[in-house]
Amino acid sequence: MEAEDRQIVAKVVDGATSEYRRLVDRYQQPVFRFTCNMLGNRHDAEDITQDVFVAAFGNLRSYDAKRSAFLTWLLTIARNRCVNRWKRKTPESTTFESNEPIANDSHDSVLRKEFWKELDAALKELPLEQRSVFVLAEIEQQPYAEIAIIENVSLGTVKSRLHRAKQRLRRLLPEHAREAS
Amino acid sequence: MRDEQEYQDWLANKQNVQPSIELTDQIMDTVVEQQVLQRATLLLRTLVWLERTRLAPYMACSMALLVGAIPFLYLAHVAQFIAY
Repeated sequence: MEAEDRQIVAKVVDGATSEYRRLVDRYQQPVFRFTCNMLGNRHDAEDITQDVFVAAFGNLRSYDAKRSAFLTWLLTIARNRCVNRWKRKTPESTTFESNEPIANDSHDSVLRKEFWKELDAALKELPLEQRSVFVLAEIEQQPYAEIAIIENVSLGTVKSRLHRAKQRLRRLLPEHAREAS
Repeated sequence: MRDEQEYQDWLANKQNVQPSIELTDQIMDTVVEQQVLQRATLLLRTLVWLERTRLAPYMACSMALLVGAIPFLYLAHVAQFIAY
């Protein structure tokens, strides 16, 4: 996959712009998923995903395949854009949309919906650097080494941030959710 | 947490987030637009550079001299075939 990415990048740099579509097709979903889970807003996430791919295209010559995989590079750009976007926004304008479970009137479904909302709210409350590591590790399932590159921190810092994020997530969950656990 | 299973379900739900189907086309359209814009910017910069280096007036004068000389060159060429 990485070798193929390198070949595509080389072709695009040589002028075959249409080849870039293959990279977009391959990586738009993980980039969108990451931005959506970072910002909790589909509209902003699509905006940033587009921005990430356009910026990557503009800076394709500076991409160094020896340093990181293409997806890692994209996620690094996405992470920085998300942080900038989040800092620019006021707390009131940031709404976390949850991907709600299928509508069903059963008691279990209502409880689950509530629980997911609480988790979403708790995720939103995490400090940015912890949220970013949590989303990359738990949702994106990225290896710690890749996360360290994306976050530009050491492996130990990644592990401690993830640990703190999980601890904080537990703490931020409302009392009744913790009691039920 | 309340239930490990529910937590895993929440994570799975987060992993299932999908972008809209038009996103690829939107991205590619913007990429192509950006490329056109980059080329236009490059052309503009070259023109500005030519203007600033005063190369443009010299080039324009040279072109005008060349075009102005064409009738004389033609006459000189034709004249050799005329017997006086």
